Amino acid sequence: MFVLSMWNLIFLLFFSFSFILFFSSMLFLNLSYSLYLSWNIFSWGSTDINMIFLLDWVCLMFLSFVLFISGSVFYYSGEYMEGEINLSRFIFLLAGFVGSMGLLIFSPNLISILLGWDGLGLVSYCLVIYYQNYKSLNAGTLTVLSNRVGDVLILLGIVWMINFGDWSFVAWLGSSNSLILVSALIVLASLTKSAQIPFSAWLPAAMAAPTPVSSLVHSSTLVTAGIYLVIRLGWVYDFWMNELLMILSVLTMFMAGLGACFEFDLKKIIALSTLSQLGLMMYSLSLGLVKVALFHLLMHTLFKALLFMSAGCIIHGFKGWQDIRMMGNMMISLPFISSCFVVSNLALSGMPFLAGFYSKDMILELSLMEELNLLSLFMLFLSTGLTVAYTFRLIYYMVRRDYVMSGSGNLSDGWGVMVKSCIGLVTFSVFFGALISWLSMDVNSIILPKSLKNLTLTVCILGLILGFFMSQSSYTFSKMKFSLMIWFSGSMWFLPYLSSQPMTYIPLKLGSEIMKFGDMGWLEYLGGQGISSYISNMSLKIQIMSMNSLKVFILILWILVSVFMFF
Amino acid sequence: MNLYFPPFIYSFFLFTGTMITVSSSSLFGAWMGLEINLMSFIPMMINSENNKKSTESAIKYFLIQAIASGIVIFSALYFYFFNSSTLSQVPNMLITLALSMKLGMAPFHFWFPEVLEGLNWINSLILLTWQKISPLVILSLFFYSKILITLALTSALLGAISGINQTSMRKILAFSSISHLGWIGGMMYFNSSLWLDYFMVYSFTSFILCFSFWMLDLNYFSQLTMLKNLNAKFIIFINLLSLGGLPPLLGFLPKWMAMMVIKTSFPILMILILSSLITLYFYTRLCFSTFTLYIQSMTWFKKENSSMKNFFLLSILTFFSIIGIMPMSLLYL
Repeated sequence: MFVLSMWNLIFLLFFSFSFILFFSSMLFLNLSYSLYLSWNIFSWGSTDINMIFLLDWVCLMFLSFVLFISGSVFYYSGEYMEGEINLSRFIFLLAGFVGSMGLLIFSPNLISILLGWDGLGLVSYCLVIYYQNYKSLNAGTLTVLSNRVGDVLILLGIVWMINFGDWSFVAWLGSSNSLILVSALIVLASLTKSAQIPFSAWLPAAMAAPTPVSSLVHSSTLVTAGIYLVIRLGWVYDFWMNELLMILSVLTMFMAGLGACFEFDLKKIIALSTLSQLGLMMYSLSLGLVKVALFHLLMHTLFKALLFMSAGCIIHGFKGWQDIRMMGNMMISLPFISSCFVVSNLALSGMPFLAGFYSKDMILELSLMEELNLLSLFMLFLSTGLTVAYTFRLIYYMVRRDYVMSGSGNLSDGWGVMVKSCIGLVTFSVFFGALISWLSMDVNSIILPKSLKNLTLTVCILGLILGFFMSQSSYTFSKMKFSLMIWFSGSMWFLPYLSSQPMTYIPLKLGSEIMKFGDMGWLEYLGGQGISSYISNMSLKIQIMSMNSLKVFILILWILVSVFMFF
Repeated sequence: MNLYFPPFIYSFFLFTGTMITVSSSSLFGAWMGLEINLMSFIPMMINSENNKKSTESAIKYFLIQAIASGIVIFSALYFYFFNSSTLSQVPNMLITLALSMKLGMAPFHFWFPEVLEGLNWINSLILLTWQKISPLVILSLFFYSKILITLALTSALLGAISGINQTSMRKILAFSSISHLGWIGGMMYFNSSLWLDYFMVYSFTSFILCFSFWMLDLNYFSQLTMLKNLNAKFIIFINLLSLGGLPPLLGFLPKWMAMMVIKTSFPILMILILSSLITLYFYTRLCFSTFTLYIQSMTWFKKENSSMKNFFLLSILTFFSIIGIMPMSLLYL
């Protein structure tokens, strides 16, 4: 009972802070006010190590969302993690997650960003391997090593920023080459954290974590840290990697959408949908639509957290079963949770007047107004349609379809803690899209012809039809014979295979070869053991020399003396 | 009539001979001191433990030293005859060769371990340290530098390499002494008087080692592993490593000074350092096997009769060889 009240305490704390932050963010936005606090920790040579806090409406609002979601997740964990042995560890890890995120959000200083960034990486590793088995370990290692690449890139950025004597990149407006390099490094680092295409294998793998963690990690903290960093950077600089970023993000979206259509693991489908939304955010950043990307980021945190939490309820009800082929007809058995699930899914797919609609529609329409290449435009709309398709496939499988799980189940909404914790998020997923768009976006600038204006809607309806047909077992299961194409699309274009095995195979093989020929071979022969035995043998020969009679030793002296006598 | 003089009388002459050599202003006086030294050391060798091995050692020592002394007095005569008329280097060459024979520098070092093998620890200590003073002093005054450096490098290398397979503690000390003579010769080659400091620290370390071997009655390496007293092991190995010149210990200090002196000539320095690395290698090997690989303990093994008082003295001395480098290096700064 104490532990449950502990959850509630943290929930209340986070919730109240979230409200305070939200209203102060509104205030800051209204007054267009921001606060830049800089504390010189120490000065070394001509470089200042500063602790910087930049408080403006963006970070206040983002942190309020983070706190709100983490508060809900804490509350939710009270039931989900009930009976857990290592509860205190879980609580500390989640709190560490929120703390690292706060450091990352508030402080636009590369060193403190690295602190928060590393903290996120470390805590995410600890959380992914929370259930201690080999699968979790593999997933956690993949996660932490992928994130490590980003750490290294940020470290490189820090090294480069020493040229300026200061690591607060916000303070250095301008377009010198080194600043461009630093911003490029940070953008590349963000690609790892937000799992864009070369680094996206870890995101579905990280689903080995407990579901509340997934809800926190994949909605508002870990994966959005990269996006948030690029947003912060994009507020200041023009990117020079726009094209690269655009292609990567569009490919990520497409890959994730395609993969989600072939996936049957509930959490993995949601993870892939997160990946696709992250791609969308990155895409809008690559177009320079920074504010809209922030808007979508905020909306995404809301409905994705809700989606994960309701999925967690379902998984909890099914006693850990995650395969959607065995689920169904939840609108009877879990009416409230399934409606939360449907609301969040609809918000994800951009159903009008839900949270996702405003941001997503705005991104699509603004990108139609930009100068675009046809390929990325095509991919963007294709993956938007795919989002709708896999969403409706998921809804159909989970909610509408007949109950196909064998044996008996014990599913019910009840009035448990998990159900209660979803309420706030449902409300916000419904209302906040409109609210935030009215508050902070200017929507008057979209001017499009009727055909392009209707393009999004058309694509979504086509996606809906596709999703419906995809989920009919008579159309899919009979056709789902193994083929390279299905394997390729369903396994994230082989990225998990590519980013785990070859990465380790070649260095390990090389290492063993070098070990065999070097340390255990030639280096041993030419180094330690070889020299030792050589000297030993030499010593033996000298020893034989010293076994002569004393006369011989005197003879040596006499010979030398007589040689030098007549020198 | 059996004339017996106790050893301390000879030790007086031993002392006097060296003093005469060191303080004499002519080569003839130096030679006389050498002879007195030799003649007083030989009865000490035989008298203190009257057995075959020590007699053999004494004979060998006498032969070598007498022949070397003969060459010394020969080159002194050479000086005497030709000093005014020629600028010949021949007497310097001959003196260098003869004195390195007396010292046991390579390649004339073969007698040295064999002589040392037959002595008890007190005489070993005298042979390792005191007997080297007078030849070294004469050598520092009359040396032919090319021969000296050749002999020095040879003895550094040979001393290090020959020591590897040894199991007798006396032989290990002998080869280590040969190797140290290489360093001393190297410093002497650069006309530095710091060789004296090197020799002093070397004598100090040798003294502790011989003293502890004497106290603990150790003659062979295999006996080290049987030592039950861990403190004794520590004392011995700290001093052995100090003798080898492991950096934080006292023995590194003279090597450090030598490096400072010899740093102008990189190849000489490299050869010396590499040879002392080999020395360190076999000391560490001894250490390693003694401390880790096996500790023999036999129930019927004789009791160690080391009194606590001597142990205390040894501990004090070991303390000096552990931290000695700090005050000494301050002294030389």
